[in-house]
Parts: sequence; structure tokens; C-alpha cells
Amino acid sequence: MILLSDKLSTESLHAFIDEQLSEDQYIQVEAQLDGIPRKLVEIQQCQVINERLREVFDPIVEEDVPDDLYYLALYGINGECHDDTQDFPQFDHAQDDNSGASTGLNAEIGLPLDPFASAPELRDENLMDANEFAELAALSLESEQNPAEYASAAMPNTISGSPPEIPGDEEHSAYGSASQPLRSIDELTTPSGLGASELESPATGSHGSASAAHPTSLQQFFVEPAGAEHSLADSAGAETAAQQIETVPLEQSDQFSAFDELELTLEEEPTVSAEPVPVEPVPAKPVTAKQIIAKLLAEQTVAQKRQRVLDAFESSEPLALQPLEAQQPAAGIIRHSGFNQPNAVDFARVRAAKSGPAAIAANAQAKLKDKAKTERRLMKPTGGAAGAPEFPIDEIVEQLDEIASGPEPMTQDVVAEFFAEDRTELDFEVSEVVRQFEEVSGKFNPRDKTLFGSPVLRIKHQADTVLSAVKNGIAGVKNALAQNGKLPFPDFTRILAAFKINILKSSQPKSSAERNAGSIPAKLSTGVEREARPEGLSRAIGETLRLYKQKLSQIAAVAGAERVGDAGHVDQRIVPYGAALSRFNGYQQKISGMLEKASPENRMTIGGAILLVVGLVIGGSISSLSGRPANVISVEKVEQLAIDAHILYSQQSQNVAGTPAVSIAESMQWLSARMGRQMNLADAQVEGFEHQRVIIVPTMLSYAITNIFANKNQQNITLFIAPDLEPAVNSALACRVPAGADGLCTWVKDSVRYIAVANLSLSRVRAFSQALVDSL
Amino acid sequence: MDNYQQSFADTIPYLRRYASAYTGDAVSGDALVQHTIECAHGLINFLQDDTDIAIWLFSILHNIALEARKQVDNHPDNEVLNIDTIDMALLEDIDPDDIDIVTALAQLPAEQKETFLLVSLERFTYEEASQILSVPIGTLILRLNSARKFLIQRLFLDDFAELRAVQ
Repeated sequence: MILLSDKLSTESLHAFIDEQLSEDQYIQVEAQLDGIPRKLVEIQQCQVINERLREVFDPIVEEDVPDDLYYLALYGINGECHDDTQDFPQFDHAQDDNSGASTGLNAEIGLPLDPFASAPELRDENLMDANEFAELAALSLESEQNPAEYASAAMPNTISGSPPEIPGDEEHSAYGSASQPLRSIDELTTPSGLGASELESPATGSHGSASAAHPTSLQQFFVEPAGAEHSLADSAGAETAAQQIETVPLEQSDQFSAFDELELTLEEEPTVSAEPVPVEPVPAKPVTAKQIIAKLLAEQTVAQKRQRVLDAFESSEPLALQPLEAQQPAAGIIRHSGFNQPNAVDFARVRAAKSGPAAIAANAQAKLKDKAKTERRLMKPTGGAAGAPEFPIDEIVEQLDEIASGPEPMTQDVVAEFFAEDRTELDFEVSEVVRQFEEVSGKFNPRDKTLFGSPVLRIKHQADTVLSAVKNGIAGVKNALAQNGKLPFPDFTRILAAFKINILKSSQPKSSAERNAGSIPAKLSTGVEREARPEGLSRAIGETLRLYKQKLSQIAAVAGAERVGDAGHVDQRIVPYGAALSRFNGYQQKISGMLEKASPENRMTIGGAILLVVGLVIGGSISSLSGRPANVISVEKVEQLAIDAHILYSQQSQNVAGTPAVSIAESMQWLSARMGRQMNLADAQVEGFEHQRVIIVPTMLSYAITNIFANKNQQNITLFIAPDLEPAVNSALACRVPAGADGLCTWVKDSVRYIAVANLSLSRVRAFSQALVDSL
Repeated sequence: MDNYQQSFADTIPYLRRYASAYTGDAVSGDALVQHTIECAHGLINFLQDDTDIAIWLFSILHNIALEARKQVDNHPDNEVLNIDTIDMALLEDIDPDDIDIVTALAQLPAEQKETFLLVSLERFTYEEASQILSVPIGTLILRLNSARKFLIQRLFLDDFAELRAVQ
């Protein structure tokens, strides 16, 4: 209640705008406002703002709620957080709870499982994860017990260790006392109970589906003599059912996570119908799908389970998790909207499942459509995220397809591969690089230690210092040459030969030419030749420097040859590379010292930064030395760089998950957020994420490190981009993606789903590329 | 409380609208709503029968956003989280006609923005909004006043407003 005074208060003014006054109060305020035209204008402006605000955002209310949110709201996350790495549908946790007690126990479960109990190679070969193996072992162990004991006590507790979730017989009785007629569990599982509906469950698989349709009741089935192989395939009923019911292989079933918790209310005698018939849900005494699935699972003999596991192992993708897009929206799993949203078919299926058993037929149709759609999606490349239809998927995928499988390459290999490429034509203009580095270094305030919060920033500062020294050296040499025009042109060959001798000084004596090289060779005694340096990134840096020096020698030889007939001429483009290299070696030592202090997680990133900084500086020297025109920065080049590397240059210096991707550990945080469960690197490896390679991507101003993880189980390629950490450096090239923007890009080609952190449409890339070039 | 799930589902469109306006884009908004619903399910035992579920959900959403803001405020790179109009103008999924108000909202301080959105967009009463935000009504009015002054300045009085008027 707004209390009004004689004087127009701020509160009453806003209450007037927001229509939160009573009629009398409204009139009173209106009268007060008559004498204050300025306030009237303000009120009008506020009302216009309100209207525009609602005009912009009200359509959201009319939109369809995303299915994942809808599921989440209805079913919550408790008990439904589907961990697809933990679940092993063949031995679903739910099936064991009451199945032994309520359905009786097939004597076959008592059969020994020696082949499995003594098959550690299954685990060793990663065909089964630890949970699955333990579960299998538990089954095997149980099989040695008395079947009666197993049925009465052991089974409910030994397999899952969780309290029963499925109502027992008492609850079924209670269920029968409700408005519905009493129905036994047999009725629920016979064809008449289900009609032609497809109560195909991922946990039941083909056998389960067939047995669901088998006219034999569960009770009949379970009282058959021990050891009797129940060949469902031989059954005419099963054959008929197989024609009616979609038999989805267990490992290809993807509906379980969303389907198992759906409450199927059986209100009336179901009829055989191919069309979905809406039935009003009855809240009382529901029978959950999990119950039915459990009953169906109980039909499976151990031999059948064992055979199915063997079949699965023999198949090409036995226990592979499904691609993310093939998974149904499981409540509790964080589904990023970058993934394909569950479609209307999914939604209809859930609605149908809620409606009653007669509508399960709709479920069947929805699943068929969904399966077909999934297959089409898997077979056909699709666009990435919405709004980016022009994203050059094929080109990107072609690059990704080139990713070599096999062991993770060593850092040295990555570095060597990167720097071994022919870079005689540089991707940047040296003067531009120098200018940009100057800009960066100018923004550093050595007194401001807050700028150096990260090791990379400190290293960059060191790099700027080195660059400054190099520039001073260049200026000094230029001045010297300018002052003394008769100064002989440096003999690059001799200088570099001296350098080589320094590397191999233990085995080769100095030549006379080398001894005559003057003072410059003396400065070339570097730490690169220290073979005793510790292995790791420091070694990699040394190797990189060595590579660059080799390139330098090649170019210097060319340059020297060009100068042979040009004696006496002073070339202003001469680079005192000897001095520069000595600086770099000092720089290398500093880096090595810093790397020793850096945490192991950061070393890769820091090392990458170092390599690139060194590469830029040395590359600049090479370009200046060779005198070749460097490539001019162009829109196309920037664009191509961004596309090639799928780089998300985030001005916020954070990736889209809000986590600075400065290390693999933090990338794991990002992955955890995406996967909906806590993951660390070890888990990622266990779950099939293999660190394929590191791509160090040079840019004009900075670098980007792309860690590529391949999830073979889910057939995903996940790219983690480590953006630059320094906003000042990155701002010129920043793709101005606002906080929280969708940075996930997915696409499919050849049944492989690719996920990239970056989600830059080509138009957006062009936009910021153009902005960058304009700014330069 | 029985059947709270349906109430959750019924409130989601409004949560999405608010979250989308608060975060500035639909994707982040949906993520925020998802987090809200998850938390709400976890806190369902604290829900009393006489609690207005919509207010309860909005208060959860507010608390999540507040927590996120605290983390951002404590982040050393919080300076770069500011979004200028150029950034927003590059967004493709914003109607050009709406860029001014969206960017103006983005520049509002978070406290003022959430107050303004709850009252103006979601049309909560001052009592309800103060309950959601856990602030006295006086504070709420002050924030609302500041927000509206800012928006008026931004949308009607400065250069940006003139530019829009020309368009």
C-alpha cells in the first residue's frame, strides 16, 4: 500500500507509473501532477520505456518453453541425473531392486559366469569401465550362490546397493485398490496389456522387447526349469511381436534417461491402436516406466545378458555412448542450447507418456520418427548453431578430419611441426608487430603489480623488455652503419658458421673464417647448445630457437649472396640478429626459470605463449633481414585465421563458460559445466576424451592455443580455446562477444559430431575482421 | 506442496523473459533459468504451502544472479566485462530497433536493472519485488528511480537517443 502525502513523492510517482495505486490514489496523484509539467514528461518517458521493454521481451513468454527446461521443471533432477558413463543399460541399476522378489528368479541366473569373472582383459582393453566391470563381477559372484538365497536376499543389495525404488507386490495391490481394475504385473507386460504399443525400453533391448510381447507371462517364464534356454526367437509370438515392436539394440537405445522416470498412468484397458489416444492422466497410484522396465529386465536370463554383452563387444561400437544429439534430454543434465534441442517429437513423446498407456503407441511412433531423424542427422552434415547457416562447416571439418589419431604428440613435436612450416612469407608485417608490441609494452606499468597476476602476463612483459632491447640494438647498429659508410657488410655466412661451431664446438674446431668473424660471433654463445638442459618446455623452447636459427641461417645466406656484388653499400634493413639472438637466449633462460616456478597445469599455456612471442620476434627479424615484403594484414587473412582456428577472441578474457581457459584444468571446469557433472582430466581420459594435439595459432597480436580433445565414445571432437589473457593485447582483435553469449558450435559430418568452443558465424567474423583492419 | 512441478513449468516463460532481459541474451537467460529450476528442486523441502511459487522462483533466480555477480566482482578481470554499445551492435540476434533499449539495460547497474525489470517488465508489486530482492521498499524505490533516470537519459537525452530519432 502506497501512502500518499500532499506533496508528490518519488514513491507515489513511480507507483503512478507502475499502476500500483488505488483508484483514489491515482486521481490524487494525477491532480498533483497537473501542476508539475516536468514530471508529466518524465512519466510519459517512463511509460514509453515500459512499453518498449515489454514490446521487446514479451514475445519470450509466448515462445515454446525449451524441452529441457520443461522436463527439468516437471521431473527435477533428483534421481534423474543420468550419468551415461555410470549407467550400463544392460545391467541397469533399476532392474535389480525388486525384480528378484517380485517376479521370481530365473534359475539360469545361478549359472556360472566364469568367462566373465576371469576376463580382466575386458577391463584392461577399456571395453568396460570400472563400474560395468564391477557390476559384471557382482553378477558372476552372485551366480555362485544358491539361487533361492540370491532371490530372497542377495540380489536386491548386491548389484546396485541402493534401496529398492520399485514398488513391490504390496504396492501393486494398493495400485489395484485404486480406481483402476486390479492388474497384475503380468498383464502389464503381456501384449494385451501393452497393446501394440512399443514399450521398447533401452534397458530391455531387443530381447526385452520381444519378451514384452511374448504371450507368456512373467511368472510362467520364470518358473521354467533351470537351464532351459528360452529361445524367444523361435517363438511365433516373438516373431509377431518383432514385426510390431521396434527392437532397438540396447546400446543404441537413447531414450532411457528421459523415459525411465516418466510416470505412465494406466487408467483403462489399453487397446491396440497405432494412433495416439489422449487419455487423462490419473495421478493416483501410477506405475512408473521404471517398474515396467524392471519387470521386463527380470525376464532376462544371465545367459541372455552375457550373450548380449558378448554381441556388444563383437560389434564395432559395442559400448559406445551415443552422440550427444542422439541422447534424449535427461533431466538434470545441463543441455547447452548450442546442442540440438529436443525436437517436437521428443516433446510429444513425453506428453504421450504422461497421458496413459494407450498413448504409448504415440511413443512408438515418436521413437521411430526420432530414430529416423537421428539417423538422417548423423548421415548428413548440418549447420552449426542457429543463426550461422553460412558457417563453413565443410572446410572446418576437413581440417579436423586431418587430426591424426594415435598417441598424444610430444610438445617438441608440436612445436617442431608448427615451426617447421615454411614461413619465409610471414603472416604479419614486422613493423606492425613491432608497433603493436610497443603499444602493449607501453601499457605495462612495472610498478603496477596487479597487471602481472598471471605468469603469462609476466612473460609478456619480459618479452616486451627483450623486444625493446632488440630494437635498441637495431637502432645502434643502424646508427653505426650510418656513421661509418665504409663499415664492411657483415658476412652472414661467417657469423652463422660461428654460431654453428658454438653448437658443435666440442667436435669441430673453429675455422679461420670463423675466427675472423669479429666480435659478433662471440655474442652468439647461447644456451641453446646446452644439451644438458632439462627436458620439457625449456627443451622445446631451445629446439624452437634452434629451428629458427636454422631458418635464419638460410635466409641470411640468401641475403649475403645478394650482397656479394653490392659491396660498400649499406643496407639499412640489416638486422643485428647476433645481438638479437643473444638477447633471446637470455630471454630463454629467464623463461626457463619462470617455467620452473609455474604450476604444471600452466606450463603448456605459458610455453605456448613463450614460443609464439619468441617466434614473432625472431620472425620479425627474419622478415626484416630478408627484406621481403611481409604480407599485409587483410580482412580475409584475419577471417581465415579465425575460421581456421575456431578462435573465440573474447574481450572478457574469459571463455563463454565464464572460466578463464588458461589451463587444461580450467578447461575441465568448462567441460564439467557442459557435461553437467564434475570432470577432471583423468575422468575425461577415462571417459574417452583423448588429448589429441595442441595447435598453437599465431595471430597478428597474440596467440591462441587450441587443445583438441577427441571423445571417441561419443564421437565428439571438442576444441578448447585458450584465449589471450591480456585484454589490451586482445582488444584490437577481439570478437566482441558479450558475456554469456553462446560460444558452443556443433556440427555433424560423417556421423561425427564436432563441438567447438567458438561459435562465430562468418558474418560476425567478417564484421570484427573489418573492424580490426579499419582500426589498423 | 503438491504439484509444484506444474507451477514450476507454468512460471518458466516468465522466468525466461526476466532472465533474458537481465542477462541480455536468451541463451544466458535460459541457462540462468535452468540453474534456478535445479536449485528450486533441491530446495523444495523449504517450500511452504502458502508460498507464492513465482515469487519464490524469482527470488532464487535473483540469489543465483547475485552470487554470480559477486564472483564477477571479485574477478580481477571484471573491468573487461563491461559491454559497450559497439559490442552489442555487433550482435546479430538483436533487432536493430531494439538495440538501444537492450544496450541501455545492459549498462544499468545490476541492482537497478533487476529492480526495474521486476517492476516494469514482470509487473510485480513493490512488496513482491522487495520480497524477491530482499530489500526494503524504500531501497527498491530508490533503485527504481535511479534506473528510470538512467534510462531516460540514455534513451531520450543523449546522443544515442538523437541517433535513434534520426533513424
